[in-house]
Amino acid sequence: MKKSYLIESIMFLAGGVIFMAAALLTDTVLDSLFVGFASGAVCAGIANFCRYFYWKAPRNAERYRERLEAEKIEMHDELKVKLRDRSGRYAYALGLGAVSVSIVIFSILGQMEVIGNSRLIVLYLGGYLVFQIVVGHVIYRHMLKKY
Amino acid sequence: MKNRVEELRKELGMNQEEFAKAIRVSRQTVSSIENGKYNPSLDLAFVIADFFGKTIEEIFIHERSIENEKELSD
Repeated sequence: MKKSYLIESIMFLAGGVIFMAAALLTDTVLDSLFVGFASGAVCAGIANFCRYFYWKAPRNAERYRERLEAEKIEMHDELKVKLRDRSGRYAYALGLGAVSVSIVIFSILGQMEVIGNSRLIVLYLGGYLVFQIVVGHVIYRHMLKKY
Repeated sequence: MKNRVEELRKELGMNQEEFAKAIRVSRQTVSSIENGKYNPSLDLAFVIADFFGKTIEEIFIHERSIENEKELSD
């Protein structure tokens, strides 16, 4: 197993400790958020740490090699790549639809005074919608240029 | 597009898993190709043809080409 996984684990643990220290040593409204970040980072670090030593053990070397090989095949398998691309396209289209519907719903809720600050939410969603469409278009044109 | 992948694989006495490993694709891809649900890319078609020591045309049969040949012979 690559040494970078061990370094990654140590970095996660260090990040967790830093966030925990920030939460304990300061007294701000962000404390609970810092504790959340710290817990997440420490758990991820410990999990990676255990995984590293488990797969690094000589008795697991062969199984690890097979696993890597299988992962590589899965990653580059052309049918799965094609299906991943297609599912991404559907998710993109559904995402645009969901954001558009949300804009309408938040506008109505705002007008009916069911929620406050609806203008901010609608503006944010509108911006996000435009961003998605523009980025999709730009990436498409960029990729087309390569052919 | 029809193909002879299953027939040729069985001739070699391999199962789908072994064949998939040999040509470095997933078992699902092999299964989909054999069922005619998925047409492989030209790259993969060459890999398969090389594996069996045959040409692409000997393995993958384009139905429209067969129809065209029939029309020409009629």
